[in-house]
Amino acid sequence: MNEEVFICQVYNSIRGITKATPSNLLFFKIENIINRKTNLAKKWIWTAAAGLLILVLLNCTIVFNFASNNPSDVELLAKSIQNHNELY
Amino acid sequence: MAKIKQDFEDIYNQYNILVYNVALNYLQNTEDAEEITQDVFVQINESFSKFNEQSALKTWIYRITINKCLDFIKHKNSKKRFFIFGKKSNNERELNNITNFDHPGITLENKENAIILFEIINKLSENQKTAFLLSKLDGLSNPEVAQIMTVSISAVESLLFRAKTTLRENLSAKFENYRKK
Repeated sequence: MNEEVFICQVYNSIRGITKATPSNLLFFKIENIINRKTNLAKKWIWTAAAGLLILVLLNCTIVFNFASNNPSDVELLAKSIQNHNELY
Repeated sequence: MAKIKQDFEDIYNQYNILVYNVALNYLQNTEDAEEITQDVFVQINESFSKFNEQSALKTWIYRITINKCLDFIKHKNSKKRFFIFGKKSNNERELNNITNFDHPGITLENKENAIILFEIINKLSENQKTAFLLSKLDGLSNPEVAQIMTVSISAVESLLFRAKTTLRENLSAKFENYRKK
């Protein structure tokens, strides 16, 4: 066989290549992956939302506790004025 | 929701053979081609809302498929390198799969020659390989290839010319080896 024939034979081996079809189950596999991904995404959204809610509640609790335990500046001033506001 | 699902099913029915065959031409393995088809349609489903219709849907799907194939090859090559320099995998099948030729579109009588040809095609640069496969195996015109690859038509012509020259040179070298045997 000469070189030219060899090259032509190899080069033409892809001529008339036919279209192959994927497995019939492939669509269901893809649908399954998509559904799983959507459910996973929803799960993460709910987890993040729950985490955020807990943080906000913790913050509120700390702020309100701090506010009720410590008298405000106005209250302190009123108390000190009252203490010194004695009749001569 | 049901409409989106129906749209997706329509797109799948219309393009699954195209995607599968492009992947098959790139990877020459049915299992890998199915994996790519899966990934492509999952991405289409995720990014369909972002598709701005600046290009045709077919072009967009071609681009996604080609990018997925190129990523897949890069990933496989890096694994191959790991096997060479690192610890060898006990699973020989995993290693052999890399060069496992399985293209159902090629007739049995052409298989031997097609293996030689694809071996050389796989050594071409990414752009040359893409232009060659889209033009010769998918039968796309040069303007269509240019649109998919986002290059000019003259660039596609040049890529095809260089790809053919390289193929010819490498086939000559193969012939020399073949004759020596």
